Amino acid sequence: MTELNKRSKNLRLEIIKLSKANGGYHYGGSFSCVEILISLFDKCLNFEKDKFVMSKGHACWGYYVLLHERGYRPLLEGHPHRDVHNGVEWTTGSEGHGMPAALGMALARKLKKQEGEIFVLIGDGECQEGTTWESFLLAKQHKLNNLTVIVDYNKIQGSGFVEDILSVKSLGNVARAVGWKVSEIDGHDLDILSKTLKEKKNEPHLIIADTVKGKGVSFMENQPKWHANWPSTEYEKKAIEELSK
Amino acid sequence: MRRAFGKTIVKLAQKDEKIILISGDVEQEMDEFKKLFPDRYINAGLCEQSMISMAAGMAAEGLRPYVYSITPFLIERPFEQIKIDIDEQDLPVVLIGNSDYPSHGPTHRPLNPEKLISIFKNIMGYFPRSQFETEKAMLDSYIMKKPAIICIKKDGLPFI
Repeated sequence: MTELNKRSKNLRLEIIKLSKANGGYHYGGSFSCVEILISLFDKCLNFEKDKFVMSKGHACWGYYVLLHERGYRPLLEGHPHRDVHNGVEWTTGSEGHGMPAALGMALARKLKKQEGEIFVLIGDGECQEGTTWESFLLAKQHKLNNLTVIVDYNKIQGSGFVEDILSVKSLGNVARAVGWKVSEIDGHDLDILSKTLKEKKNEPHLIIADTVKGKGVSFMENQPKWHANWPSTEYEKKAIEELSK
Repeated sequence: MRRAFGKTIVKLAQKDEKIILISGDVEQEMDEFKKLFPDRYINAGLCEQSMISMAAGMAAEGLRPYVYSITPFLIERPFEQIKIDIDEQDLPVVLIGNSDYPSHGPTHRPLNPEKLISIFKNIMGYFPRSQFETEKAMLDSYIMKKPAIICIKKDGLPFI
């Protein structure tokens, strides 16, 4: 698996600081999407004309840190509130809202003949929601090649492994069959992520980013219990030590 | 009342090009709108949840979406999408529900739209009793630029 660079490690350290200070405890999913968020914020999004919807609302802490870096001050609750003046484009936390909302934004841009792209990050557990599959059909029907959906495919959801609970392995094949462009990539490789996010396309784009839940902290990696878990001082110290190396 | 809806939406759309009409595959009284504004009419098919969130996303982009369907399919089925995507974010989406189906069985009968709509924080509820009141509700909700739900029915039918 990919080695994490300084920026990736630092963002994880900031996530621990910010979430602890504000009562957050979704470390697993927050860590799995760090490189996706860094690629979006550092390399891909044009804040003048693009929009990003954080549909994976429980993993909001890295998102908040990156917004803070840009001078925004979003409300620091466990799930994002829409506040466009502070960079938060949608209220999320209940799964299955961000993708159809983002497709509405993309469709509006088409109708207004306005440029710019709409990006949305969803979780793999979230893909079990019916709106994901409805949105596949709608986005294709309306030829929304200005819409990119990134799935943080970390294979673990609230109570266990996605594969054991309700598999979404067919995601890529279904999207491809419906007529989407589908990319399946390493979700921790910053270069591949940036390149794929910026790809020009004629169809809506689904990026399945293969990730590790809890990535970067050995005892959290691939452990369902770290989906949502408040770390003891000892665990917190260990995590900080590992990420500070 | 459906006729009043069909006429008024055309009138509003002539003045405001941001108005988009979205239907959940129920195309009553929409012929004129479709003829005059084919690019601003979207039949979303049968995906009521995504249709609501999509309309809210369009409103966030500055458009004025009007979503039309049969009342229980419009309000009850996608209830949480309305709560989060329209009401919580106070986005100016207007939902128009029709329940002209007293003999169609329980699936086509809403429970109690007045009660249901009253619990939202921002959504205005309109329950017109005539064509005139339907037009008035539509004009009013347009001017208010607030989220709204307008429940229409055949003149003289009770809501419940």
